[in-house]
Amino acid sequence: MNNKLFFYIFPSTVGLLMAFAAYGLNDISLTTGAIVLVSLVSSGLLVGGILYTKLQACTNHSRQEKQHVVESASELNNAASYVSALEEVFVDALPIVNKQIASSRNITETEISNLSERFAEMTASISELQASQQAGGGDLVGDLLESSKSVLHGVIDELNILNEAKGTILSQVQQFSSHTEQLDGMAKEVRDIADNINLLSLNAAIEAARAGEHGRGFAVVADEIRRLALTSSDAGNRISKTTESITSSISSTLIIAEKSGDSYSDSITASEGYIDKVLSDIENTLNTFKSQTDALSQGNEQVQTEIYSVITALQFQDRVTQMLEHAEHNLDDIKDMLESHKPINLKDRNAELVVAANIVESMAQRYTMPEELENHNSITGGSINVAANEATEEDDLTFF
Amino acid sequence: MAKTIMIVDDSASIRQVVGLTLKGAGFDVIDAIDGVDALKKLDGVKIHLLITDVNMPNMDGITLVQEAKKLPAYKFTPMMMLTTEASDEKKQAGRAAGAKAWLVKPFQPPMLLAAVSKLILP
Repeated sequence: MNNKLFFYIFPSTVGLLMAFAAYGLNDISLTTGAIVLVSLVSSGLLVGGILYTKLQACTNHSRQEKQHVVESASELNNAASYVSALEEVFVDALPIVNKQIASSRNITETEISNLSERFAEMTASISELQASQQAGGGDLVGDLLESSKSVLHGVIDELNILNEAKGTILSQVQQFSSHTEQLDGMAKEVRDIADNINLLSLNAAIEAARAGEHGRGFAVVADEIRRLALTSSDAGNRISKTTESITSSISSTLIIAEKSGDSYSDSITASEGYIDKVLSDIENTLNTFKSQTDALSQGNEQVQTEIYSVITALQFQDRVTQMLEHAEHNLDDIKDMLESHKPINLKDRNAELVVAANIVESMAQRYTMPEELENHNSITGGSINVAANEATEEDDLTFF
Repeated sequence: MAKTIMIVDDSASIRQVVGLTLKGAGFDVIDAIDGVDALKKLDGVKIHLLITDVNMPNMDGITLVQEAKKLPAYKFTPMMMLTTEASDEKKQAGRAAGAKAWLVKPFQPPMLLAAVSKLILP
């Protein structure tokens, strides 16, 4: 209110004084002086009003600016405390995240390692089983079959040789039988000769008797010859009887031998049939066993293929481990950077301390696998060295 | 007599699956967890092939190949890198160190065995 009065009274007073001064110093009429007075006072009031209005506007603006500055300072303080809190969060939280990643990585590695070990033991067992199956099957089956055939057919051959030998003996006995008939003939001839001698001795005895005393000596001789003829005849009879007995025995033996020979041949033929049957059964069994072994071998090949697949799959743990390690190190780098900023006063910090592009670029430097770069680029929208790190199937193995 | 191969990798699971593949093919296998461990275990031991990872703690695979090649006993021993790294730049570094082959993980066992049979002289 005082300001307002000042702004209205001061210019109007100046106008009044200037009107009086003009009236006193100049020779003007009262009417003119009154007009000048009214004009100057009115002008003073008008100027005062304008100045007051301006002053009011400036004051209001100044007040608003002051309020804005106060609010901005408050916001700045809030932002600074937020940044500090954010920094604390990163510095405190990153090691925890890192610890969790490292722990997960270690657990995975340990378990995969145990799994690999068990898998190696299983594979060794399978290999041993496979080896034993192969040792028990394959050519050994054929060898066993051939060996058995050879032995058993050898037995049959021996039996046939024995049978032939027996046939030869029978043939010899039959020849011997024909010899006994000759013996019987010879015995008959002996008897006939004895009869003729006996007849001669009788004639000699008759002639001796007719000769009288001179023929007495001759009669003795004739008598002795007759006894000799009788003895020879007896011998011929005994030979015939013995020969007859031998012939009878040989005939009986031949009959029995021929019968047993037929039975023997039948037995050998039957044995051959049995042996062939047994060999056929063995062959069938061994072939079945061999086909099962072959099937197992084929199964083992499939198992080997599966083992190779598992070996390849198990290696992805190594890739995952490396990706986690790189993530850990990248988080460590961010934590270290934030910790290095902590001693710097807030008012001295600026955006140059934290260049996001540099941080992201340094993260990419650590990658070794295409997947990491692809993941990185999918977030950043960049294309850092992907082509240089991408390995094709053909690039998997390189010889220098 | 079985040929001996040394496998160097900081990953236990990789050592096991490589060992499994090689032992299954009739090779003897020696394990090492990094370059330092490998050099310590070599110590004049006769090996026919060295297979090593690239990124390992203490001593990386490329340094291991360089160091092993300096030793008279291993000057002519074939060495192969087995790694997830696939960049030409790294491969050239391996070649310059003295490696004869580079196989990217994960490997197919038949491919590993093919590489091994090509590198090991009969």
